[in-house]
Amino acid sequence: VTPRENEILRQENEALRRRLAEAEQVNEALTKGQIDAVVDEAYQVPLLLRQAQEALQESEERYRVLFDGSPLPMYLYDQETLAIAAVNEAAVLHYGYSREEFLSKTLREIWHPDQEAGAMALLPASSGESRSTVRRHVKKGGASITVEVFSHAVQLAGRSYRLSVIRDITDHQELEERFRQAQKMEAVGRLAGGVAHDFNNLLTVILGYDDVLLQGLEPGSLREAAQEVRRAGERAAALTRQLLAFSRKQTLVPEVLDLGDVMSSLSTMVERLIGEDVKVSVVVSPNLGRVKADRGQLEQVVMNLAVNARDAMPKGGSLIFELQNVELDDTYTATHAEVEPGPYVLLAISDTGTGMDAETKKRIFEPFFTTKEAGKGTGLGLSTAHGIVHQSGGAIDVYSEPGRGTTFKVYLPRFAGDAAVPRSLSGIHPALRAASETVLVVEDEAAIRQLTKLILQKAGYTVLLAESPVAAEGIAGSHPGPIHLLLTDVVMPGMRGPELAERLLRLRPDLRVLYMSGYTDDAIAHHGFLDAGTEFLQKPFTPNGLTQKIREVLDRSEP
Amino acid sequence: LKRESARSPARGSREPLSLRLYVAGQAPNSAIAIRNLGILFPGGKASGQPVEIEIVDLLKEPLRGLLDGVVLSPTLVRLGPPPVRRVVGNLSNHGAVLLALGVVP
Repeated sequence: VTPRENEILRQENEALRRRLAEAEQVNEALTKGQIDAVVDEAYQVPLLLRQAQEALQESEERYRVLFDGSPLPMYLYDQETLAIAAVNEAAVLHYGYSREEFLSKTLREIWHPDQEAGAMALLPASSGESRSTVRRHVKKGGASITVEVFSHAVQLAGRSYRLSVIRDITDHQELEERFRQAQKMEAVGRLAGGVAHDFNNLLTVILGYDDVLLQGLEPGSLREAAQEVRRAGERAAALTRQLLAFSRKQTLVPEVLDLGDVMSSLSTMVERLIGEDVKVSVVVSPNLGRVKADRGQLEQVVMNLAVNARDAMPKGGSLIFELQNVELDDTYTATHAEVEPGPYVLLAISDTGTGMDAETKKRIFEPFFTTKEAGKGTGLGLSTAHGIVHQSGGAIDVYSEPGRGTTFKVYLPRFAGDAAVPRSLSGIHPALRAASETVLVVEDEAAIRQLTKLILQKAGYTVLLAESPVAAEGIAGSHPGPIHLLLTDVVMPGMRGPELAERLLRLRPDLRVLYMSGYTDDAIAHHGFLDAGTEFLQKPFTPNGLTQKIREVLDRSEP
Repeated sequence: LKRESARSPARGSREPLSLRLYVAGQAPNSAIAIRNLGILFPGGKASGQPVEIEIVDLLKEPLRGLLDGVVLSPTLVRLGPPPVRRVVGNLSNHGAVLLALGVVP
C-alpha cells in the first residue's frame, strides 16, 4: 500500500465515521421529537410533522384532567424526603391548604402528631408495594380527620415517589362509634330492664307485707325495724324506676304537653334544687310547638340534667333553659339513626360549668358512668334521661368544652294533631269507706297474687284470684255475681293483659280494667306506652296506692 | 462563496463562522432552535470568533433545502470554514452542538 493509497483509505474511513455520527445524531433528534418537518424530495414540499411537543402537551393535559378531576384528594410525594411533589384540586379543597402551601410541605406536616411515630415506622418496610392504611391527618386550621390512604409506588425521572389517594372516613368512623355505643347501651338496657322487672315483683311483695306488718305492730323496736325495711324498700324502688327508665322499658303514659308550661311549673323546684349561686333563666321562643310525652318522665329528664349542671358549677354560674321549634334534616338524622327528619321541639340546657373532655363526653350516657366521687352519684341520672328521651321518640345530644360549659340538647317530636283530652288528674279518691265490690285479680306471680288478695280483702273487696288469663276467663264465665273490676298484669304467659281485657269485656261490658306492671316487655314496650286514658298501676305498689287507684277507677263516672 | 474562502481551521482564525439554520416556519422545534442559537452565540460571537447566521424557512423556500441536501427541519449547517458539518434537531444539547460544529467553548 502506497502512502497515497493509505491516505485515501484514511480519508474514506474518516468520512464514514463522520456519516455514521451524523446518522446517529439525526436518529437521536428524531427519537426525541426534535424534528418539525421533512422535505419530500419527490414533491419538493416540506411535510410538517405532527408535533411531538403538542402530543406530549396533550397527553400531559389528559393526565392533569384525570388527576385534578378526581373527586378524591390525591398527592404525590417523594419517597425519600417525603416532600409533596403534586396535589390535585380535591386535596386543595379538602385540606384547605393552597397548592403552593401543599408543595412547600412534607408529608410529615399533614400527619397528626399522635400518628407520626407509627407512620414513620411503616415507611421503610413499604417502599415498593401498594398499600392502604388508616391515618389521622391535620387540615389547615388544625382540625384532624381520619383518612384511609391508598398509595402506590411510582418512578418519575429516576426518582421514587408514592401516589396517594385519600378517602376521608371521619364521619364514617363517628357513625360506627355511635352505632357501637348504641349497641352497648341496648345490651346494658336489656340487662337492667330484666333485673328491674324481677326486682319490682320482689319489692311489691316486700313492701306489701311490710305494710301489713306495720299495721299490725304496736309502736316499739319491731315497728322501727319494719319502718327501716320500708324505707330501704322505697329507695330500692326508686332505683329500679331509674333502671327501667334507662332501659326504656317503663310504661309511659304520654299526653300532649306544652314544654313551656312544664318548665314554668318546674322552675321553682329547679331553683331550689340547684341553690342560690346559680342563676336560672328560661327562654321560650314564641309559637312553641307541643310534644306528646309522659309528663312525669319529662320532668325527670329536666331535673336530672339540672342536677348534672349544678354539679358542674360548684362555684356558681348560670343555667339557661331554652325552648324552640327546630326542623331536623337528613344531615342530623344521618348520625342519629334513632330519629326521623321532621319538626321537633328543642330543649337546650346550658351551663357555664367545668365542661368535659371528649373521652367523658363519649361515655356520659352510659349507666353507672360517673365523674363524681364514689357515693356522690349513681351514674344513672344522664342514662335515665337518655332512655326517657329515646323512648319518647326523641334524641339527646351533648356539646361541651373543658372550662367553657356544657349544653345538652333534647329533641322531642313536635306534636302535629289535635290535643287529646288530657288525662284527668283530679280523681285521687282516698279509700275511706269500706268497699263492697268484686275484683278479679289476674297475676302469675303467686306472692303478689296472695298479697293483693290480702290487701283488697282488708279493704272490704270480694276477691277472685286467677293465675292465668285462661283461668280468668273461666272465672268470668262461671262467677254467679257481678265482677266490677279486672286487675291484671300486662305481661303474662299465653295472653297479654289488653287481650284478656277485651275478651272479658265481651262477657261483662260493665267491667272496669286496671293494669299493673313492673316491666313492659313486648305488649307495651313494643309501642312504648299504653294509650292515654288507660288505667295503669306501676309495680311496686303500696297497699294504699293499690286501694286508692282501684277506688279511683271504680268511682269514675264514665266507663 | 464563504465556503471556498479558506481552508484554515476555525480555531484561532479571525474568519467568521458561517452557519445556516433551516427551519419550518414557527413550528415549535424550529422556534426552540432559533432561540438556542441566540444562547449559543451571544452577540454573534463564538469564543471571540464572529459568527454569521442565515435562517432559511423551508416552508417558503423548500428548494433551497433540497439543493443543500437538507430534508429535515430544523437542521443547522456549518458552511464555513470547512469542513462542512450538520446538526439535526432543536439544538437543546448545547455541548453536543458546539462539539459537532467544531467550536471549542
